[in-house]
Amino acid sequence: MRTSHHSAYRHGLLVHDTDEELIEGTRTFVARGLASGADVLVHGPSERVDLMREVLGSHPRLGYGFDEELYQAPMRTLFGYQHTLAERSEPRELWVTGTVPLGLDATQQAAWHRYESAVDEALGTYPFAALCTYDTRHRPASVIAAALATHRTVNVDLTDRENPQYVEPAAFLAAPLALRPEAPATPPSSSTVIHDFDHLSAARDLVRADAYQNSAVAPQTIEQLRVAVSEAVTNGLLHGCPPVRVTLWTDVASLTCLVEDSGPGHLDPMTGFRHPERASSMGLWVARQLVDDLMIRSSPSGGCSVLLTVTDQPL
Amino acid sequence: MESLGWRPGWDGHLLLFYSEESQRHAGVAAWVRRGLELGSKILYTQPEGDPPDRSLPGLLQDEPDALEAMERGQIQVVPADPSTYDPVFIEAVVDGALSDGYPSVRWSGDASTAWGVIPRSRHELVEQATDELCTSRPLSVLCQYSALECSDAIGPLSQSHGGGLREQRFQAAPVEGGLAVAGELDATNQRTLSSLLTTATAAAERDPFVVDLSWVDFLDLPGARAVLLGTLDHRSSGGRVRLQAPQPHVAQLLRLLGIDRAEGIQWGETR
Repeated sequence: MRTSHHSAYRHGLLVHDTDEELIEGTRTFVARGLASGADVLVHGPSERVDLMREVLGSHPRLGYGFDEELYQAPMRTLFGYQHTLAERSEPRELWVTGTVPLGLDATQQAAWHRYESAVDEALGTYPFAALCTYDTRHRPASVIAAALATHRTVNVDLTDRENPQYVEPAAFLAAPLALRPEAPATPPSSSTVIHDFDHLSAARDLVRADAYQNSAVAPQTIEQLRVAVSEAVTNGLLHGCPPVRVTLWTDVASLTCLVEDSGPGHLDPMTGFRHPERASSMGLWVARQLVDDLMIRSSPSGGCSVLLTVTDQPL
Repeated sequence: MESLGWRPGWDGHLLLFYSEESQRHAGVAAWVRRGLELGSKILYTQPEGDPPDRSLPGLLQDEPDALEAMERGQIQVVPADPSTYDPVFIEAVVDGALSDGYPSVRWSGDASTAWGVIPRSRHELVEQATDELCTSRPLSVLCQYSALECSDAIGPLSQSHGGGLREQRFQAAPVEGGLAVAGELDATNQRTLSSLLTTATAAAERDPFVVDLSWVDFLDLPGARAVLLGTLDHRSSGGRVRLQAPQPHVAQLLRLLGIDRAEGIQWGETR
């Protein structure tokens, strides 16, 4: 585990194929959490939560949450946890257990895989312990493989063990299981080049003009993308090198924007997940929270590229 | 919670704050267009021998309606001399135009034109007198100030312009109990906004000081920092600041940054 993680931080995995294993694993996790003085949250689909409530009962520090509310979209869920942890006035640990939802298709499922992989980066500095449960009867083998690649520990016989199949988040993003979003192969609907801060507004003007005219994406979503694109361009001008190229693809219900700088291209792909301690790293942290997906990688042209995606169908 | 009723526009005693000649050009042209819509008498003070591209005909060369209005005398150039800046003279000219049947009057000029014929200290007094005249008459005065020469004085300057300050992408105007802001707040106007807020909060007579954000349609990190920094002195000395009626996406960013929970900040409902 990276030394910068909180000593109480854990992101563990329980793979099971019976209800008894799930109940026993959850009961043990909850009991240990409550015994250590932590707040404990058990989440899942509403029918699963009802079952767990019957088994686990009530406790002043034990809460239940429904996936229908807490797990609507991967990045919203991830940063929701981060804000909860960052804003807690009490230093008490938060322990969470449950099942991450199954995506409706491969694209949605991969977004949840990337969520699991990013948990270490986004939440690792907090007194946060998670036990993610995956049922092999209801999850395809690829989902179980992704779960094994994204959790540092596996729970076997009620004990956490180092997971030899774990893959570091940046490496996981490049793996096929992550199904990393790519810029569309179709011709873009517009593009511009930004040379300096005085012309930063050209990037958001382009998004506004093109998105309102050529998509049916909701105004609030377009406005969020405008801010996110502006922050990505700012980042490119500050930490990469000008010029920064901005390319936009519009579709009826989605917008994709690629921001490429002309710098050395060494930006860490996990930048912007960790809660910013210094103002200089804030831009991409904000941008990640305003879009469905934000992918950082080296651009074929040599600089660094940031791919931003929004859709009116939350992932 | 509602906005405070102010809306951005080109009326009243305005300060046009420009960094480039193209911005001055666009601002004057928009202000003239508004005057033509209203059927106003439009007066423009310029120095004798101003180069053609800086003179009013040069500024309006792409505005055929304005050039036509110049020919028939609705738009009139007033050569700059010390008497042009005498408040008594200004008042007489305005009243003369009103008695000629014009429903309203507009007057503009660059501050550097005034400084060529009267001392800056006297010009400041003229600005204050003009501010009063704009409230007692159907008069709009657009005062052009170059950012190169005036960026440090923008806070105090804004105090003598009741119609507010206009830049290329944003406008700020005093409203009852605070300051209303419109347009796009980003790195290009971060310093200006911060100065405006620092000056306005220092002169505030009410607590909480209200920042009406209802007309802000773009806010990024530098813009949000300007709101925090510009109100810092006021909040550090125990004052409170209410962020009024931001649009949902603006409110979302302020919340993400924790500005709604910052010391001394109160939260108005979103629009």
